[in-house]
Amino acid sequence: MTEIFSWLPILLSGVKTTVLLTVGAALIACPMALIFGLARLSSHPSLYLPSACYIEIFRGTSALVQLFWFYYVLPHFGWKLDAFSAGVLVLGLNIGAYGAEVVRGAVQAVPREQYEAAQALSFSRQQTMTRIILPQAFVAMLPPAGNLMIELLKSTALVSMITLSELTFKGQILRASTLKSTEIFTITLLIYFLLSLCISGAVRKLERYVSYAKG
Amino acid sequence: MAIETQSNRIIQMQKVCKRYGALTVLQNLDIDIESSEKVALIGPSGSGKSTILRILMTLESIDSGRVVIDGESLYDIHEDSTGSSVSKQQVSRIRAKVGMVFQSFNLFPHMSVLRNITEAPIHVLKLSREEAEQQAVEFLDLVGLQDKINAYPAQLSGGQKQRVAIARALAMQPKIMLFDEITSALDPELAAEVLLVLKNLARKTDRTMLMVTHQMHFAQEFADRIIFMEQGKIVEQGSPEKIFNHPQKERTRSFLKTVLEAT
Ligand SMILES: Nc1ncnc2c1ncn2[C@@H]1O[C@H](COP(=O)(O)OP(=O)(O)O)[C@@H](O)[C@H]1O
Ligand SMILES: [Mg+2]
Repeated sequence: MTEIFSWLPILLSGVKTTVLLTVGAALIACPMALIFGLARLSSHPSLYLPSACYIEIFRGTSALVQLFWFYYVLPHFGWKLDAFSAGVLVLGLNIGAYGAEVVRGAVQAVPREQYEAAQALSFSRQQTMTRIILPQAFVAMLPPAGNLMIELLKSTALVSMITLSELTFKGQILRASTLKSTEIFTITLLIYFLLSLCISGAVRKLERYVSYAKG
Repeated sequence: MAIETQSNRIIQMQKVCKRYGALTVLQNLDIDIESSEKVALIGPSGSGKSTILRILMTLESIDSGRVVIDGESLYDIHEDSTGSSVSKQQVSRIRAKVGMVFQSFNLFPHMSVLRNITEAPIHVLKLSREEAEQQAVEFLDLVGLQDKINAYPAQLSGGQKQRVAIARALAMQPKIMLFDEITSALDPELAAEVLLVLKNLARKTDRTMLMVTHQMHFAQEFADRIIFMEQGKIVEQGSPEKIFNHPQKERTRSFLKTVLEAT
């Protein structure tokens, strides 16, 4: 039992990196999702084509290989990233691509009648988006966005493959020195689970905060 | 570009054609409406009534014909599809003169009743918040819903929603109000409360009103003129007295018979 306490500082330092990776990637993913999700809805090819490319490329290829590519291949083109930056960037772009589809779906789910009501009241196109459509879409995109955040948290484990010592990496190191696989990986799982509970709790709070009376 | 108008016609539709693909919805339709006139548009479902309102609200374009609203040309398209195009500014100017209430209310669900009514006056007409709110209270008073000012649409009955929608449209001070079957989605009692509001409104304002309705008794009381249309064409029009008591066309008679039997 005391052994477990001696592991904790090591695991917790991994947790710190995992959380920083998650937060950093989320800070990239959210604006990417919003910008490319809206661009995807445009009827203008110069907007929706780049957006479709971005979404399809990042959704359509393995995140692990993307990570290897950013970490090992980009330096050949003169752009060297440390493991943490590569991790934040790849995870952020990856979740951003899925997020763009969430944004697109939520905006498309707002009924056409809402646009017509706005037009009948002489709102400009931009006002219609910012005042009428996006606030409604935002409420609809929160639950799937929460899922993506948990997905993001879990996929930070991938970054251990490019030697970043986040939670999973620390777990592996401890296992190598103690050979207590069961205890160590059970604790590691538990920590991931607690972190994801934090995310779903926060998202649920946010949902309650922004949701309007539904009768 | 102002257009010379005879008398005080606020709406002129001339030879308007509207198609959806192969389906012709309006065929060489002519409608003239005088300023402050109250007109009821009746006819079987699919005859193009909503399409007319949607064209006037600038929600729908036309294939050919001419539409002039309050002296400003909205469309002037020849049959060969050539014609003068209308600037965006002119379209917005025309749009601001027209207000519409929809069958399905279309309130903004994420805004309180008050904000539903003040949002456009504040951000489109650039009224101050105080002015807009004071005016909103007056309109809520008019539709009998002062006590619901902070409610959200989901907390209202259908009839209350529709009355908020009426207040919301009025708050933009349109010269022309369009109503598209605004009681069709409501139970009879709730419909009655909405119709009462509308009747008061018609009496109090000199706004031009064009409404599509299946409530013949209401149309009879409310309207100066009834237009009966079918398959994108006007079959017969005239005073309520003429249309309901002395219809000239056999088709009008049979339509009124089926509708009145059904209610
Ligand atoms: N967006 C659309 N696309 C295709 N057909 C349409 C569309 N809107 C209306 N229609 C058709 O046009 C005809 C007239 O519709 P509408 O003006 O709504 O009739 P009404 O209001 O008299 O019932 C109907 O046959 C309807 O199916
Ligand atoms: Mg209709």
